[in-house]
Amino acid sequence: MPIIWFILFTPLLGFILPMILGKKNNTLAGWITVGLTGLNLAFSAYFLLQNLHNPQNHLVFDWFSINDKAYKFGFLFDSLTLMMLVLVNFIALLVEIFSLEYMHDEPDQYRYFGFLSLFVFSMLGIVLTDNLFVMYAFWELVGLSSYLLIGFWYKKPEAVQASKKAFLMNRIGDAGFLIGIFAVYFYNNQSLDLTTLSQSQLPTIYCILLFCGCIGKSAQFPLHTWLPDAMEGPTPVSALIHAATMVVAGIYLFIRVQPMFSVDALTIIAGIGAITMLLGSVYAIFQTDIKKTLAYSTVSQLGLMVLGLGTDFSTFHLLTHAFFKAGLFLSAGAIIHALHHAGHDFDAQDMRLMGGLRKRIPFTFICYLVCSMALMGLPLFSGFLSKDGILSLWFDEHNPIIFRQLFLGAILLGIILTAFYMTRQVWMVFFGEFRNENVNPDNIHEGSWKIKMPIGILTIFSTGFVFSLNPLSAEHGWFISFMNSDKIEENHLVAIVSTIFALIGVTTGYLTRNKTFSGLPTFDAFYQKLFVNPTVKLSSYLQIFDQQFVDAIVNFLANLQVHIAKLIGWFDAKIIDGVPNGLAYSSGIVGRITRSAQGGKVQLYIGIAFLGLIGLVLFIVL
Amino acid sequence: MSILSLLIFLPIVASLVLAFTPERFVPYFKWVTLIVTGVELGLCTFVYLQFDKQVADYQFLEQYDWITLPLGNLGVGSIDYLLGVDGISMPMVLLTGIVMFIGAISSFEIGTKERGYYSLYLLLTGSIIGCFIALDMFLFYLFFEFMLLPMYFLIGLWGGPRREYASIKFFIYTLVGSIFILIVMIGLYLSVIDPVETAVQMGLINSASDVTPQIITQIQSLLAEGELPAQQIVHTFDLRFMPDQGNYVSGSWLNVFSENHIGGLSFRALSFIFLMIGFGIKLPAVPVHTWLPDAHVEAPTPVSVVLAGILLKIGGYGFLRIAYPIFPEIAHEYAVWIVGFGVLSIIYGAFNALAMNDLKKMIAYSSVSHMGFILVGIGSLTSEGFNGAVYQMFSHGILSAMLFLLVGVLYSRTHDRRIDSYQGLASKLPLFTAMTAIAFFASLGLPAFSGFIGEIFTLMGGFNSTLIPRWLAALAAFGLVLGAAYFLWTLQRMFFGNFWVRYTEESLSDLSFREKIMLYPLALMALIFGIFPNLIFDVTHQSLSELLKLF
Repeated sequence: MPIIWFILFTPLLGFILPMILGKKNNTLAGWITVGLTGLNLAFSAYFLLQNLHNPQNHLVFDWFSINDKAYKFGFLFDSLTLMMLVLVNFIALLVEIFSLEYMHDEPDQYRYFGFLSLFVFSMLGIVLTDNLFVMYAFWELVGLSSYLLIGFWYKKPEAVQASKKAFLMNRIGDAGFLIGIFAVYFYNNQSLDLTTLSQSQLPTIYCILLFCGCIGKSAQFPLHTWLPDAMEGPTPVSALIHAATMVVAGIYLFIRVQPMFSVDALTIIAGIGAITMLLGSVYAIFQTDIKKTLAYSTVSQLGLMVLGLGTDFSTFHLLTHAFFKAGLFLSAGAIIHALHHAGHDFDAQDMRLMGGLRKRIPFTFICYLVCSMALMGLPLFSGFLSKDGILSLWFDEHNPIIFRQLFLGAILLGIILTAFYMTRQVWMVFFGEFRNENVNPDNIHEGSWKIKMPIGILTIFSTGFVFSLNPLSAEHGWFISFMNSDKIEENHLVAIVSTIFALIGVTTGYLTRNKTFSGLPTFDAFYQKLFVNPTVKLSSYLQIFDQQFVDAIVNFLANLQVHIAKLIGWFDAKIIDGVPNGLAYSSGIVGRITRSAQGGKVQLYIGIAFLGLIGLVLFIVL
Repeated sequence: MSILSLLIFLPIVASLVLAFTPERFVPYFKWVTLIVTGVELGLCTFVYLQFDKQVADYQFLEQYDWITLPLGNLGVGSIDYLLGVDGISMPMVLLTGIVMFIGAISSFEIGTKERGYYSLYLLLTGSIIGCFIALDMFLFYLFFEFMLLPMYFLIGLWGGPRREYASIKFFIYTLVGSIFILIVMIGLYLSVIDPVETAVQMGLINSASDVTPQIITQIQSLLAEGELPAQQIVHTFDLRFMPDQGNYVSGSWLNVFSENHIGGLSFRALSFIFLMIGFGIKLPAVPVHTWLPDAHVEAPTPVSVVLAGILLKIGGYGFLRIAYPIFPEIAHEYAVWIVGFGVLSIIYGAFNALAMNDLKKMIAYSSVSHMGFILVGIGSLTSEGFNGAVYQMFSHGILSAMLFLLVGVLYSRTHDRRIDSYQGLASKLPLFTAMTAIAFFASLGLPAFSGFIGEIFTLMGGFNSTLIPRWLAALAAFGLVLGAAYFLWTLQRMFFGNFWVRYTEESLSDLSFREKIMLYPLALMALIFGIFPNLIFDVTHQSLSELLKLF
């Protein structure tokens, strides 16, 4: 099936071509990428239709082998894969079209579009692969792509800082993921093949380690802090990261490996998801930056997807979220773009400087409104359907996880909070009076079709009708039959409860519409104190230790040698050499003494000889 | 002359020729060196292509009697000129060819005393190759020691401001290591016999070519019973005979059944520890690593490239060629220690790299960290770990060569290596930035580049080994995070943000043609070997699985 190779490698071509063509062909780069992504979307759609009725397909190729152990590269595609293929390409195409205008004045467009394609390539790799080892490889490439794109404006220190943070936070999660992979490799008879894996049940600790990958990529608590900072990248990139790549990768992994997870592991994971969801939505309330609110809302929605426990409802929410969140981000981008063109020297992302924009950019307003209602989970919109799915999971009394009611309460609270901050945001941006004095509101205009068309399409996909003819229930919608799900039961209670809670949020949000909340301390300062500073300190201490101790020992030993050598030198000069010298010296003295006895006078010799003779005689006689 | 001898003697002869060529030809010396190392690279590639990947045993064997001495009651001493390659040395030979050639291009920037420099450089090339293909331990040791001489002068004469200190530190440190190896070598020599030559001496066969397995078994059983007359025993340095316990004289010091002890350690354990120290210094492993940063900082760029690219690998090679096959049971016993020192090197090296403000020192410490992965892989005694370790040696050779070249690029322009002297280089030097980013990401283990495979497989080996506690291998994985931290932090500080340099701005120009032809192929190779790891694994795995059978 060669088409699958095309699907994987077309985006790679979209990376290589602009990179080779370089800066000279900036405008070409965008169109090449758009063309290739469009082509790939067509491939993917064709592929989807072709395989619609095959439950699961598996293609395997040898990559390399050590002894008899082959490390394979393979494609695994089932409904989830097929859906992801189309989704990723679809969102990417819209984002790229949007970028054509949004990044029009950028001098390094070839880099931008190249990196976007690399991002898509890595994401498709994750989606298509059949084993965890290859998945980890593409996983890291996703990390690289996000690093390159978040830090795209490399002269901006915040952007560089954010990109580094994103990569490192992800690396921490990945280290856990990697250990999890090793553990699974060992546990599962040295195989990382997803098809054989799904039959086994893993020990809880392994499940959590694997889930670490998801914690990093999908910005779950406690590694969630990189995602809001990632806003420093160009806005269309945020749309891509939040909707189709990167954060989705974590959830995708969770969905893939979830069948192996134990109930205990799922309980812990649900706990993490619940914390993430509530944290994200609380933080979203306190933001004044239009993109940051959306970013925190993504954190919160990712928590909700995790609370879907990796079932088809997680997938469903991933799908609906992809459309409305991409729609929201691109709309936010359209607003920022419009404000940028209207004036300078102000923060175009600060919602406190907006207001009343519905009259200026009505098209964007309507799109934003629809997408945010989908996010709030109001009936008739897509988010309603998928949230109900996740809720029904927790309404279900057969759910084996303890504290079921607690989690249910958390989700309902999350629904209130989401509706609360989104209502307030829509109000702040679009209603009331325009609050920015630096800009003449008459200069604010809608963008061209390249901006409007992607947003419009995403808005259409945020309505409930697209997913189910009965927009109040997904039971008979195409998604359920496509995924071959059978778990859903129509439960009017769920729908009513979730609507009521969302409306509570909307009402309270409306009531507090004129009050700004801000200044909630983030985790960053805490992490800085707890982890970053100690690491840097430790490294400088170890450096001192290395120089003042380890190396000092070496130098000490060397100096000791020198001293010993000197000592031996002294010994050699004074003692060893001293003995012959001393002997010579003493014989000299003896010689001098005796010399005086040898005066050369015969009389003296005779006298001494005579005295000697007398002495001898006396000795003998006595 | 066969090809392996050619590999050794081509550069050595060229070195001698350069040393005695009249003065007026000196300007051509760099070209001669380039051509000689180019031919050398061609020969190495030829050997790699001709190498039979299905065979675990030594290939391209070449053997001549070199020294044979009747020693009366001590038997007969025999030293052979014995060369050969197998799966362990083959990647190293190829690496030597690549790195020495790149180093020769890099040497074009040497402007003083060229005669001495190029002569020594070629001498170094010959001895490094010799070290990797010698199968007689004496010959190995000879080349091993011989390498020190050119290195000493190359650092000491062409180095930076503290070159005397650095070169003498390097020399003495390594020499101390060699003495440990020498002691073991002598012990082995007195304990091991060459069964083939012994059979010839006893008149069982007429010449070495008549030998059959029965004869060897016969000799070995005679040896075990102590019935071989002492005068007729032929002692040997042949590394092929040392792993076979049947070839050890009964009652000799290093016989497995020997009862000799010092302080609770058998002589064999002691010998293994000695080899660990000797090769550990060369690797270098923490805590005997401190010569490396000094040597690197002072060495000129091409010498740094050679030092990090190949010389360090001789440490890892020595483990796999000498220590592990000869003392397998000790290696098994001490596996935790080896891995422990590996993990220590990874973490400690990474932390130190994080603290560095000198770019070259930072990379030197990152080398220490990356060499730790080799110890983890080797110590794990698993197929993944062993293959991963050899792969990591190869990969680090390519990547560290690239990293040191990049430092050289900057240093040659500004003579300032401090990280905090630069900011926002990306806007001024886009190609240099791109190459640095590639080298950094490849080194921190980004998939598609060679560093990834090396690190993952050594860690996988460590994790799957039954001899090692899981938490130790998990700790090593933490090194991946630290690795990303120091590389990305450096990128952020030096290359991103607004452009600023401490001193001269004018001299900053992007990569020259000569720098491009060194860096681009290295980056490409890191990519190719990363995507097709079988280019290395196919060569190594037969020999390594043969080695693993000993454990």
